[in-house]
Amino acid sequence: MTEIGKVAIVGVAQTKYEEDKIDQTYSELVFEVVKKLHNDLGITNDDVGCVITSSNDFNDGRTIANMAIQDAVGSVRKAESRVSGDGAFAFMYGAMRILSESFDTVMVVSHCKCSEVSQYLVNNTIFDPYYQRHLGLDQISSAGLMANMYMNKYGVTEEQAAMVVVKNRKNALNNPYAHLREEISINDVLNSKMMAYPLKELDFPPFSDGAVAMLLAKEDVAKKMTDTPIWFKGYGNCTDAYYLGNRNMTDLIGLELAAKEAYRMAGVNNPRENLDVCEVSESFSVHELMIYEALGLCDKGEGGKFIESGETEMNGSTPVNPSGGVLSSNPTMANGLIRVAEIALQLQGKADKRQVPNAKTGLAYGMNGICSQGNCVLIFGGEN
Amino acid sequence: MSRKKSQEKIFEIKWKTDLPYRYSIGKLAVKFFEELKENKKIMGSKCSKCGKVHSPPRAVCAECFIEMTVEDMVELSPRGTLEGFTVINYPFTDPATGGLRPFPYGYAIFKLDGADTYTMHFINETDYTKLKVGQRVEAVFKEEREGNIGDIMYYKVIKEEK
Repeated sequence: MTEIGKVAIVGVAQTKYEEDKIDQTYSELVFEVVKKLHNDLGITNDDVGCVITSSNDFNDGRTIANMAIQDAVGSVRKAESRVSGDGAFAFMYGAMRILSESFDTVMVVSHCKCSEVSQYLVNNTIFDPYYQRHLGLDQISSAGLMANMYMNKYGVTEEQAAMVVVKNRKNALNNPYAHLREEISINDVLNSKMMAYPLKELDFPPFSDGAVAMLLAKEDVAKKMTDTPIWFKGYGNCTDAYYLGNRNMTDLIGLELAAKEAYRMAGVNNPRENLDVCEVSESFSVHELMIYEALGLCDKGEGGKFIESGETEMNGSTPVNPSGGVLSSNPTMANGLIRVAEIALQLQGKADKRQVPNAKTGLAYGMNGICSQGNCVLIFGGEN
Repeated sequence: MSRKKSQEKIFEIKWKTDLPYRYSIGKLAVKFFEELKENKKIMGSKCSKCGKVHSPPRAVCAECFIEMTVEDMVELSPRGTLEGFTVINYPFTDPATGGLRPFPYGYAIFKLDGADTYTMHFINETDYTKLKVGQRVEAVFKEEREGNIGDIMYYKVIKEEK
């Protein structure tokens, strides 16, 4: 079996993320990124061994929705499978096809058009249809409950939460793919319309349309395809209790466990010292503070003080979300794979204006479900 | 690209999926809704190994991997202690009716006396400055109950020391 650390990302491609890409079908979005990747790498579909995609049937408006993109992704008469969930899990599935020595190359693609259906209704269907769904729980109301409990327990303030939004939106100015590219102030966040106390409209991401693709390859093939292969170093996955009432709502235990496993595999002993850059799936402002704690970038309850320290800013010791994060671009199912793509660009030194200088080791965090239910932590390195 | 009126016919179709289900909810949920409808009682389920009481009742204790049956169901107090809250201030399409639910409305997460897990439900307070973690809350039942979760209309804050 191929060892971990011998699977590489050889190239990535993204669409611009926008509110309403009415002039492109989701299949066309997929074709845009796959074709771009072929051209960038100088390959054809014949060079792709296997295809793994990620999307959500309710968002795509049909079941077995991977068949709607079959031509565009190049999977006709090929080994193909699909993760009905976040794209970070599709990365893992794709990497496993190489680790098991089934294929030399795997195309991993994720897409989402949030504009095509009410995301509140789609998110409401996550909940069971007899005890919870009729009470209107969705991603916004759940986030309000979690934020209230976390902030109350640790004394984290709304101003500290707003600093996350200000940071990520500022970073998005440097990302040509980002959806929201407008600098905002702490007061803008605090004065925006209340959505679910204590969270305001600007504490939440927009809804975006877009797609992302990447090609994975085994070591010898990767080195032929690119001078800057990015190596897959560690992986951790942990699903917390589905029922919110069965969770510790003030700490992201599932993410903590996933990170611990990924760190062990990648030899990360001190995340703050060892990680040069992180891209995380923050579903709301306060969520990113909780993610800092679960990743061990700061102690429990210290997320608010940690954002104030500036360590997660572009010029801090551990920049988090140089791309602008989910708060700037949110094609929901693709978020995790976008995090992986952005880390790959950082470690390749190809992140242009959002480049973290000398980034050697990076972390990508993808999430399924509500409030960090399903957690996928991936560690990458630029040198082998 | 912005949504241009003149292009709508070319670029989009609209549809609404009507997908009726006949959904099996299991013996514990049946008992839960029967007790709620007939006797205004809120039931949980207690793991025979670790003793954890789940609200609403669950059929498997995830910690012990042990099945809980109707015999493991226990009555919970309609009163509990507030652990967190939010006030929802955006339009929400009610999945039960398809219509828009009036907003704002309060949403609470609390532990019912006798339960070990959190329960979530509406709370009849939309001024978040009046809600505090640790407050006591109590279920308010519908007079004409139908055997669904809406039979608990909401929880209300009560003055009572725990």
